Amino acid sequence: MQRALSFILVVLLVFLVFLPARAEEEGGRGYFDLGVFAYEDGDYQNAESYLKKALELSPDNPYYNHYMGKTYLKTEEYKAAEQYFSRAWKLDSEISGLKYDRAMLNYKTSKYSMASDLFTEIVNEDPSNVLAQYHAGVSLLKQRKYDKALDPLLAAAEMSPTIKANGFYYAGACYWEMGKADKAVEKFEYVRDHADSEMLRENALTWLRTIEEEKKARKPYSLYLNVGYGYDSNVTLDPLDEDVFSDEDDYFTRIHFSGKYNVINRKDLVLGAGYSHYQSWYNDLEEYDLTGSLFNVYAKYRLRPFTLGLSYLPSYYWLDQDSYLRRHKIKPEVVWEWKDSLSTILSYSYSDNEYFQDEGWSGDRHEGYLNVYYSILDKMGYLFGGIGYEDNDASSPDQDYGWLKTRAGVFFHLPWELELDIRGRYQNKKYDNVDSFYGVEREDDKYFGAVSLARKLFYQWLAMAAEFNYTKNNSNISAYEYDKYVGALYLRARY
Amino acid sequence: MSVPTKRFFFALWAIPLLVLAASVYGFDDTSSGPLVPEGLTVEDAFKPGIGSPVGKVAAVRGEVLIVHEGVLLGYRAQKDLPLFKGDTIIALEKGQIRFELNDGSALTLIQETKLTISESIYDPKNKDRSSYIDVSVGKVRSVVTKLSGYKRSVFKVRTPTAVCGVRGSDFITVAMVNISEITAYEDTALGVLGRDFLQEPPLLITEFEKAIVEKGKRPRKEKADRDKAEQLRKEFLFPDELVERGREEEAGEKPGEKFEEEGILVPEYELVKPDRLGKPERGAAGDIPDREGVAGEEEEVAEVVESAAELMLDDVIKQDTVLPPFPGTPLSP
Repeated sequence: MQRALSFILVVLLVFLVFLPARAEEEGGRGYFDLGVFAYEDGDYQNAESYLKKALELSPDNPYYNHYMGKTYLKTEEYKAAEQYFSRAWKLDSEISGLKYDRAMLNYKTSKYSMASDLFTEIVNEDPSNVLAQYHAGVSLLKQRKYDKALDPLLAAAEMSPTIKANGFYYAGACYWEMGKADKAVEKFEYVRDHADSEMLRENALTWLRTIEEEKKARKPYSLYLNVGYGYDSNVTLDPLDEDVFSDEDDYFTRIHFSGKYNVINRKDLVLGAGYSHYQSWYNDLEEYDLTGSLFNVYAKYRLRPFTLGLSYLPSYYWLDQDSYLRRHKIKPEVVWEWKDSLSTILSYSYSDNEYFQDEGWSGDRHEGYLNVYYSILDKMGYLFGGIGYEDNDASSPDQDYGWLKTRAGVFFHLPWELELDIRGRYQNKKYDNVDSFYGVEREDDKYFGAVSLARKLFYQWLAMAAEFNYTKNNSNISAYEYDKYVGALYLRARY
Repeated sequence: MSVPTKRFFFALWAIPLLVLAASVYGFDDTSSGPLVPEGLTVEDAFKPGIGSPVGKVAAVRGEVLIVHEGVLLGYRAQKDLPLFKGDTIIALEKGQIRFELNDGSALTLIQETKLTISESIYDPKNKDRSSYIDVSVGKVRSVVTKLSGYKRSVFKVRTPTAVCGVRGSDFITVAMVNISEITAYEDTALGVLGRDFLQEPPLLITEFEKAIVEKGKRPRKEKADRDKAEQLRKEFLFPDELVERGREEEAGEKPGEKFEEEGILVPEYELVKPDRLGKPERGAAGDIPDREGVAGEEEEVAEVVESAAELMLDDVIKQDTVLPPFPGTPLSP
């Protein structure tokens, strides 16, 4: 009896020991195991084949589904991977590594929001998961959530020597986008000096160069001074076929100063104010001396690829020290950067003009303008063109008109630090009413062409320029027909 | 049956057994390619592998190499060195190594053995253990930690001819190209599958039984000769003092702790290449808007200048050509 009992006990023990093993081996376990080995060997073709057989026998095994998804993730069959991961997730969402694989699939299929959520969950559960930290950061960066991307990227970089340079590279990009240029430079310099990958080093160098250029362009203040002396062949707009004035040409001295300061100078938001002063003195025709004070309060908000801008531009002009014009101008605009080399600016402006010397000229102006800029030769130059229309509603019906404006030009950086600027304008001004004096509806066609050649002088911020421009105005009223050319030498400082 | 007939049958059984025994102990002729990969460079200064350590070396004797996944660089194994997923461990002639996985399972390799840690997950939080060990050639003793209450507790050993699964046990795997022999020791339950018969239920063996898996044949079970089995087990023992000292030293130390300060390495292919994230974006206040801003302002001023000239022209033409007033009406008388 005792022997029989012992025998039963032994049988029971063996049964208990074998039961889980046997259960485990059932339903395609052998295929699955070889599938896992094949997967880990990088033999995805065999892995797929083994796992298929395992799934035929146990389609609801979460582990089989998980590894099949992993295999398809490796072979970049993302749709199939999604199918198997979803099934595995439904069957057992707590399988080790499944959440990471799903996050990776979302990342690979550019579903960065879902990827970052999952990677962040993994990081919260296990902060030592360095790859989850890294990919959480990159996924957030892809969504332009730079401030949120920074922490996981830096954490990953600190935790892993192999991630360090790469993580710092993207952290640098985040800092830059957040407007922290100095910290961005610090990270890119580390990458430039320490990255093993040549590609990473070169890219860091490109960033550093761009940042340097951008820092110059994005410094909170800018100053511009243009001082010149030149000759104007027709100061008084002498009609082409009439000789009203004998002293229509003259030499002039011209100063244009402009300064602005950005109170808020972030990459995405700029708020600032500026002042420009314009002054011209004629040697003889002093009554044409013009003084202009132009103020500018502006805001720019960047929402890539768009930049929204709004400016308020009050200005005041004096003619030979007498008040000539007071203008209040409001100008909203949208800059659309289509791609790195192509951008457009669409603007509207409203002006309220008060002419002190002839009230009849005072009134409102509405102007719409579209400008297109296209960078060429690896940003060694750009082409531009624009078209606009202005509607002038003045106190005097003689000064009501519609004005079509077009412009085109090209700018080049040439060898020997030369800069060439060629631009032209064609404008057609149609007056709305019959001129009370001439008894006809006036219509003018104006042509303007200018060539300017500038060269740096001793310093990067100092240049000398020679400019020549020609204007011809055709009108159906001969008194307004004129042409003129202006030649001048300028000294320009831009800081 | 007559005595000669019995002898004949005995001889018939003995031949394959002898062939088997010869093949079990004659590794050189049947090994799967060279033990050490061609072109492998051996370095003394150890560098960690990819990811977090999955185990560490407990004891070493003779020459044993550790080769990380995907590189032709071997490091001489030393006590306490961390081991990583994908690591291949090669015990050369007279080499012997014992390493422990994070779950506490201990594997011992003796001379001319090559083993790869294909996968090793130990996740106590999620009650998950999953280890996949590939024994290409040689002899390995596995003392696998029993884990109770685990959702998944998998420990798999693959040889060229077999896959065996176990929950907790002490067993020795002898692997060659065409035949594998797995011997189970005390408290051990193993399921053994022939790699060519995956659809069949595993052959179950328990203590002091052995499974023999020949290439292309179904696994078969035999009672192990206790003396021979013990003799085989003795081959895996280190001199006691070496093991004991090793154990004392490692108390309270996590695998790979020495190398933790160097950080976790990740494979290069997991990192995003910079060209895939675009070039640096230039700000809205770039070169063109700045230059054109000044040009636009000068254009506006030029327009004002021309308007002033035109206004003065109007003054001259319109006002100067105004006819003088008519002479006054004749004076009334």
